[in-house]
Amino acid sequence: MDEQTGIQLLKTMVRIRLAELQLAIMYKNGKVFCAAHLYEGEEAVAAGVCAHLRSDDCITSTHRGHGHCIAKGLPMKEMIAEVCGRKTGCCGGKGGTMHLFKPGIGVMGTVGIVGGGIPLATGLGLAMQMQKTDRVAVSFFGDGASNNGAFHESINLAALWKLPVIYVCENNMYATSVAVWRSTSVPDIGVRGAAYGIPGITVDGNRVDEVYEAAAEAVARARAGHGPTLLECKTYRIRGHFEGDDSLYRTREEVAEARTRDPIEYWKGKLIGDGVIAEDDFAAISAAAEAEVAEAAAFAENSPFPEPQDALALTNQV
Amino acid sequence: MAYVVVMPRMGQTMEAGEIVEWMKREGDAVERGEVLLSIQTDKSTLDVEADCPGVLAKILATPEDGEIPCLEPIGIIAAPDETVDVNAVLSDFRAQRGA
Repeated sequence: MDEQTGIQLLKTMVRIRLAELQLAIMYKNGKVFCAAHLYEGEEAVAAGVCAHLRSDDCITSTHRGHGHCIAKGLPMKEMIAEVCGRKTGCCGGKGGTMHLFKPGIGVMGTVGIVGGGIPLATGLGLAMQMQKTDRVAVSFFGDGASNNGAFHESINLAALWKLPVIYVCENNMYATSVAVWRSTSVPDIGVRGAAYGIPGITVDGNRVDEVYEAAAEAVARARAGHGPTLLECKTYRIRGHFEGDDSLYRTREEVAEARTRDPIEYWKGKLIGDGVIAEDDFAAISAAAEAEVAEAAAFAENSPFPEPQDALALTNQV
Repeated sequence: MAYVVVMPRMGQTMEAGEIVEWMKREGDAVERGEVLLSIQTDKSTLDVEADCPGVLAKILATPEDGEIPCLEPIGIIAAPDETVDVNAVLSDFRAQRGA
């Protein structure tokens, strides 16, 4: 990858991180009215994959989807305003964190149902193929979703029909409170691609360069009409499943150890070590992201709530 | 600028919480993200982190206060050299929240 791409990946990860930390503060201060599932520690997956996508490519996401949306180009203001239920949000404040949509840039929804986005991305891939485009669809989902029928049925069809879909499993080691080893028959979910005759790859999801390289190949394969790829990115959910989760199912030592593998620290260290950026540049990147997030938060707080007469706006009325 | 720490709302059904213990004393410096205190909800015991850096200028509520409604002030974080007028800070806070 070239230097500009490396810097861009770092910026994306920092923007996601600071947005999530801001939402954590807004949540506990009563400014977010729905559950908040935050993405801290998993930023390299969204950044590394979405760097290959055009605005006419599509993603489907999860309950932990703010990072995917930012990486796909959803403006920070529209994201935070939507999570705060404000009229200026991308869905008029009626969707919230688990229904973030912006079809014009291919954000085809964060989905509250575990595994719910996988068939949607498969359908998007079928549409793209039938329309004879070279667009691709990406489905982000977690380790828990890979044990759902929707995962297996979708990948089977996508493999059979050679659909342009990239199935990105963010293995963050926990499905709510259940450790992956308690629920999943294989240590590497990537091997499940073999069952459907497609490439199944496992990478360190905290290393954005590894994610970026693997996603490059998967996206190129899908664009060329050669079919889907299963890409497992092993990462770690630093915060609780939701804000307010006491995480009694894991030790503080385990979380502290995971923090030493921070994806932003890793990539910042790599770029500084390679002489691509200096410490000052990182400070400037952080300051710019901090300002963007603060502005978006103020924008959200100063925006009105939707009115009763807005109830049917943006809905698919028959 | 003084920042009001409130009893956090850590769940959609949480109405109030109790303070278990302050980990910081008045006058202690705090970093953003550092644990200020622990609280108990009807479901669990949780750490409350500082939203901003500064000094814990004032503790407004303790374990002896029992249940405290969510979003009620429980402390104030200020800049190291700031003189805090507690009543003024709290009335500003309530005015802003009412807006």
